[in-house]
Amino acid sequence: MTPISNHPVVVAVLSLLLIATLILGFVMLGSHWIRNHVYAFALQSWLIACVSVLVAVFGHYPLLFAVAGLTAAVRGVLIPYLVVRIIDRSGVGRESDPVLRSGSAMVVGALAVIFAYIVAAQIQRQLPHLLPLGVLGLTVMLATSMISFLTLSLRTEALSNLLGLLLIENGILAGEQILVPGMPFLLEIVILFDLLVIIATFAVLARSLHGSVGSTDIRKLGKLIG
Amino acid sequence: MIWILLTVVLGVTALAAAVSFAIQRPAAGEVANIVAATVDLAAVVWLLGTVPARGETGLHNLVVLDPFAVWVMTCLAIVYLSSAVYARGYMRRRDLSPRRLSAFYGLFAVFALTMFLAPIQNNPGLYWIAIDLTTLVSAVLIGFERRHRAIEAAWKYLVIVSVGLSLALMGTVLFYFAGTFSRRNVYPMTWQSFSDIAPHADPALLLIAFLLILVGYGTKVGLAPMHTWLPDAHSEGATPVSAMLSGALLNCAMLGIVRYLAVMHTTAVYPEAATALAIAGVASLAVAALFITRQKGLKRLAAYSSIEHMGIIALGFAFGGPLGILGALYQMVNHSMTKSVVFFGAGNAIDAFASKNISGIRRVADRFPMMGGVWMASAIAITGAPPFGLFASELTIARAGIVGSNAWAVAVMAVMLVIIFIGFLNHFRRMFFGPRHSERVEQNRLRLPMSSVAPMAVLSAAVLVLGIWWPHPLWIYLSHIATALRGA
Repeated sequence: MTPISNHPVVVAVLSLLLIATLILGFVMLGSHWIRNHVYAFALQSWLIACVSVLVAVFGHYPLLFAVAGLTAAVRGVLIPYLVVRIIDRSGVGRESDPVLRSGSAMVVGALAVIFAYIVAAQIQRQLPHLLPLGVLGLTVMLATSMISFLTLSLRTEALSNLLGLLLIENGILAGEQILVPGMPFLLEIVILFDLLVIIATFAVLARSLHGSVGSTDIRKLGKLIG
Repeated sequence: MIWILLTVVLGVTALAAAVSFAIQRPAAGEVANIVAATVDLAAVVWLLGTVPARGETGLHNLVVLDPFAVWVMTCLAIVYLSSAVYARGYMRRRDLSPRRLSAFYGLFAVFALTMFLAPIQNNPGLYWIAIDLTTLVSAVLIGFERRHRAIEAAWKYLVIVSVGLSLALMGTVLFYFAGTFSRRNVYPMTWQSFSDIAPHADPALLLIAFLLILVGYGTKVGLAPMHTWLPDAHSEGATPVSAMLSGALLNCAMLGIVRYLAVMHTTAVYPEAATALAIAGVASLAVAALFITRQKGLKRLAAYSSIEHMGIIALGFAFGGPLGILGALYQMVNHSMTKSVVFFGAGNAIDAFASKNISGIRRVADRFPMMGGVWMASAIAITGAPPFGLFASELTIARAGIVGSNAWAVAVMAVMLVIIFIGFLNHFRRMFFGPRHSERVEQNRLRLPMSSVAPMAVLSAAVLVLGIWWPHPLWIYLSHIATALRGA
C-alpha cells in the first residue's frame, strides 16, 4: 500500500471527513424520523465524494474524479430523492414504537465503533506497512457496517431497513477509497447501478407489504419461523 | 465458437424476457421461456464439449469461460428448461391475471439471465454484482403472488442476503487490498490476479477476507447458520421459482466460494480456510437433520434438504483433492435434477390436496400413480440412497474425506445422512401410505397436465442413469475442473 499523501494537512482533512462520515451513521441510530435518515445518508454521500476528490488529487487517481461525481449525483441526490418520494407516498413519518430508545441504541453503536477500531488495530499489527489513515479507513468501513446491522435489527420501518442497507455500501465505499483507491473504476459504476436496482426492488416489496398489511411496519412480518 | 455459443445463451434468454414483457399474453411467455431454455441447454451442452480445459477469457478480460463456469451453467440450463415446462401447467392453476402472468414469465427469464451471467464473470467484483442482481430479481419472484407469507419471505430473503452479500463485498475489497502490499496499487481485478497475489499476500489478511466471503456467499448458498431465509423463500415462492432457487441459484453462489477457495490453495492458511468451509458444511447437515425430522411443511421439507445438500457440496470442496472436488461437482448436477423433481411433486401435491402441510397429503400414489411413483423415487434419490446419482456423488465425497485432514467431518456426515434418510422418507411414508382423507378433500379432483409430470419423469430417469453409470467423458471433464481448482 502506497501513501495517498504524507502531507499532514491532507491526512488531517481526510481523517476529519472519514470521522464525519462515521458520525453521520449514528443519525440512523439516534433519530426516529425517517426523513432525517435520508438527509444523513445524502450528506454522508457528499462527504465520501469529497474524500474521492482529495484522494484523486493527492493520490493521483484521476478516475476517482468520476467516482466522486457519480457518488454525489447518484448517492447524494438521486437516491435520497427517490427514497423521499417513497416516504411521501407511503405517508410514513417516523418509527411509532422503536425497539430501543435513541440513547441506548447510540451506546451500542459506540461499542461497535470501539470493537471495529480494535479489529483494525489488530490488522495493523499484522501489517506494519498499513498507515494510520488506513487504520482509520478500515475502522470506518467496519464500524459503519456494524451500525448498519444495528439499524437493521433495531428499526421496524421497512424504509429504515432500506436505508440501513444503503449505509453499509456507503461505509464500504468510504473505506475502499482510502484502502484501495485503485480498485477498478468499472466496479464503482456497476455498484451505483446496483443501488438503484435495490431501491426499485424495495419499493416494489414495500408497496406489496403496504397493500397486504396496511402499513410498512416489518413487525407485522412474523408468521414465518425460519 | 465458444463465444458465439455464450452469446446465443445470453441473447436468447434476454429475448425470452423481452417477448414475455412485450406481448401481454401468458402463452407467449410460456413458449418464449421453453424455447429459450431449450436453446440454452443445447448451447451449454455444446459448450461442455468445446470449452478449453484451461478456460478462455474475453471481452477485455471481463468474462471467463472455463469448465467450471460451463458446468454450473449446465446445471442451471437443465433446471431452467424443466422449470419452464413445469411452469406452463402450474402457473395456469394460479389465480393471476394474464398481465401478471406475462410479468411473471418476463421476470422468470430475467432471473435465468442473471444466473447465466454470474458464473462467467472473470472479475470477482462483477461476480458479486451478478449475484446481487439474482437476489433482487428472485426476491420479486418470491413475493410475486402478493400473499402475506410470500411478501414476508421475500422481505426476509432480501434483507438477510443483502447483509450477507455486503460482507462478501467487504471480503472482496480486503482481498484486493491484500494484493496492494505485494503489487502496485492498481492491478486488474480477476480470479487469476487474485491467484497470483495470494502466495505473496499476508496470510492472516487473506484468511479474514476469505471468512467474510464464506459468510457472505455462504448466506446466499444457505449454509448454516446463515440459512434462515432459505426455508421461507423456497417454500413461499411459486414452485418453478423454488426449483430455480434450489437447483440453480445455490450452485451459482457456491461457485464464488469455490473460486476463492481455489485462490487460497497456494497460501499457508489454506487448511484453515478449508476447515472453515467444512465446519459450515457439517453445521448445515446438522441443522437440516434436526429440521427435516420434525418438519410439517412439505416445501419446507424440500428446502431443508437443499441446506443438507449444499452442506455436502461444501464438504466435498473442503475435503479437496481430485475425489472431493469431483464428488462435489457431480453432487451439484444430481442435486439440481433431483431437487427439481421433489419440488415439482410437492407443487402438484399441494395443489391436488389443497394443503401445504405434510399431514394434509395422503395416498398420493392412489390418485396419481405415475406422478406419485416418480415423486417417491425422487424422495429416495434425494436422501442419497442407491442406485441414484446422489449416492454415487456422496460416496465419492466421503471417500475423499476419509483420507484427508477433516476425516471427523465424514463421521458426522454419515450420522446426519442416516438421520435425514429416516426422517425424510418417514414423511413420504405418511403421504403415500397414511390413512385416507375424508371425502371432502378427495373431491378436489385436480387433473395434472403432461407438463406437470413429464419434467419429473425425464429428470428422474436421468438421475437414475447417472447413478448407475458415471460417463467416462464426464469424469474426464470434471477432472479438468478439479485440476484447475487445485492450481495444478
